[in-house]
Amino acid sequence: MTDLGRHPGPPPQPPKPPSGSAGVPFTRWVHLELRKSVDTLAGFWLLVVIAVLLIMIEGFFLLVGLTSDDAGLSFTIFTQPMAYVLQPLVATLTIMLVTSEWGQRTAMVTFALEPRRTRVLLAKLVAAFTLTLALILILFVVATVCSALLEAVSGNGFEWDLGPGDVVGLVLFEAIAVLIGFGLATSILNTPGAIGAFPVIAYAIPSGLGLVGLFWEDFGTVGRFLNLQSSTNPVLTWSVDSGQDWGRLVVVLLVWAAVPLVLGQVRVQRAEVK
Amino acid sequence: MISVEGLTRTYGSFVAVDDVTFACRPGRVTGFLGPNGAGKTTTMRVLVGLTPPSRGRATIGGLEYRDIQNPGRHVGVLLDAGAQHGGRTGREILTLGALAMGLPTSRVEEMLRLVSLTPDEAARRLRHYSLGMKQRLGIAHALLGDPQVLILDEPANGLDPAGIRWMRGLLKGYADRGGTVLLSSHLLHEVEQIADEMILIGHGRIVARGDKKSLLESNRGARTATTTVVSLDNTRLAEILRERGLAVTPGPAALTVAAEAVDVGRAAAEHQVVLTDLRSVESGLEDLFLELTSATQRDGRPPRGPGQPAHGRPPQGYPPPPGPPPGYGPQQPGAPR
Ligand SMILES: Nc1ncnc2c1ncn2[C@@H]1O[C@H](COP(=O)(O)OP(=O)(O)OP(=O)(O)O)[C@@H](O)[C@H]1O
Ligand SMILES: [Mg+2]
Repeated sequence: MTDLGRHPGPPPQPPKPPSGSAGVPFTRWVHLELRKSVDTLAGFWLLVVIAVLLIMIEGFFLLVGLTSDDAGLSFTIFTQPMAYVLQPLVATLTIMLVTSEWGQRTAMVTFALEPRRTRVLLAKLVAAFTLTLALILILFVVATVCSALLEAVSGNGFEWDLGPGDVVGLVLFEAIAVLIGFGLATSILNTPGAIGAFPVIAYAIPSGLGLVGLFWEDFGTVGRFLNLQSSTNPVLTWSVDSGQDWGRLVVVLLVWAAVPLVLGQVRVQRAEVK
Repeated sequence: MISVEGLTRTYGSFVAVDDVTFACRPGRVTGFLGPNGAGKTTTMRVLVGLTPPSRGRATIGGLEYRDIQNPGRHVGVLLDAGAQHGGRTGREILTLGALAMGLPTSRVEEMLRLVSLTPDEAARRLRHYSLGMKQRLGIAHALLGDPQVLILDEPANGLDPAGIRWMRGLLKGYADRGGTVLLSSHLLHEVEQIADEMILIGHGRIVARGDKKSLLESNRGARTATTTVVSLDNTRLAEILRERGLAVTPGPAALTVAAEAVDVGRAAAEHQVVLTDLRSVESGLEDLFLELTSATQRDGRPPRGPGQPAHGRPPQGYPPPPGPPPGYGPQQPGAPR
């Protein structure tokens, strides 16, 4: 690096007059966030692993379907259970989009280029939804291929039972996971912390509430309002009917999504980016 | 172009930046100079909106940073060259910046050439970069949007001598074409050569400012002259000088005297001591710098009334506080140069 010959280069152009250039359009930030989600090995492989995992599990379902003589197999067995596989994965993906900026300290550069931090966060959220939709699309394509194979081979009364509600329900179900992951990521701002917090909310707390509720009925009734899985399941199956269903859904969304999202907003706005 | 007014940033009860006011004009390189922990980085971080100020205001071209549209096109920022994703290649990092600012990707190649990163190096991931390569990439990133204002925190950090010289030329040329440059350093001789104007900061407060000449002149009167002298009989000369009431510090080879050279020479002549070396110590910017910044140390907060001792009286039975390390004290005579 001490070779003087390395140093000549074109000088920087004369500075422009201080005219105002147009602000950066929001879509450009979304595009950048999508690019940033795949331009590192970690980000790229996370997406590949999720996709491969989906395909492998669907393949397994297909084998089971092919080898069993049960009638009444249907398209939704390829989609609904998979929603639970996707749930922690899309949450992780969302968390990584946010917290990697803090872990790798790129937030300094990002916020120097876009000081309106809310725009950066929104772009990340839109990018997370986009990636999630892409994964859901892969899921439906693979599910369709598997269903067609199953119907062709076994033929005994395969049911294409997919209604619009099933699609919308699954998308909303994953969107909730994205929102929760986003809330955790912005309020914790640390990759292992946020990734670790998600299973606590999604698995440990629902199981704990259920267990205590087995022995203490009153607690169980109240506890259901904090149970993410049992309260969001009606969204997935597109069967939110009773007032109770709605009430539980609203409470769960408030506690596990809205509160962390607001906390996270405040935290990111105030954070000294180091 | 850059204007900082009454800027204060506190962390709890600790004042990191204390009522700092300065301006950087277009066409000039302003050096921001101070020892470790003086508050340089904090001030720059407030300038670019990464740290909120506790009091005061910082603007660039009259606007607060967050109000600048597409700030990358107006203000080039390098605060920490390591603050980039280690898993991205140098070229990818610049490409992301160019895309964000709405620049053609040809600009990326241009900048890589400017900072002398080879295509091979640009294809490496940042975590495999050497310190100087990271610094070059950071400079390239700051220049990417062809900004009118540059804010660089220790830009020479990790650069080899040729790189430092190159950067000096780059920044000078940049300022000559009307750009505004604010750069920080704790290395005086580095800033001395680039900066048209210097701002000395110590413990969060500005202790002096101006160009090199005016800085030295403004302090000449306040400083006692220092002379080093070598004679054939140093012991005797020291006695003679002490008799005249001059402070003498014997060194291994020379005596350091707090007096003008002419007074020392006259005393020696009167007593017929043969001098072999006599020189007045030109106190450089470095001494001034150390003096000014260590002065703020002694004025440490909370402010004391005049006449109070700099150090609180130590509890009984404790040894007296150690003096400043050699070379850092305000009245330390400099060595002959
Ligand atoms: N978030 C923080 N919390 C507490 N103290 C802080 C924080 N950020 C900075 N400081 C303190 O503020 C002071 C100024 O730090 P700053 O980084 O601005 O120094 P500097 O002049 O850049 O020093 P250097 O030459 O070493 O880079 C230091 O004492 C530092 O410890
Ligand atoms: Mg610093």
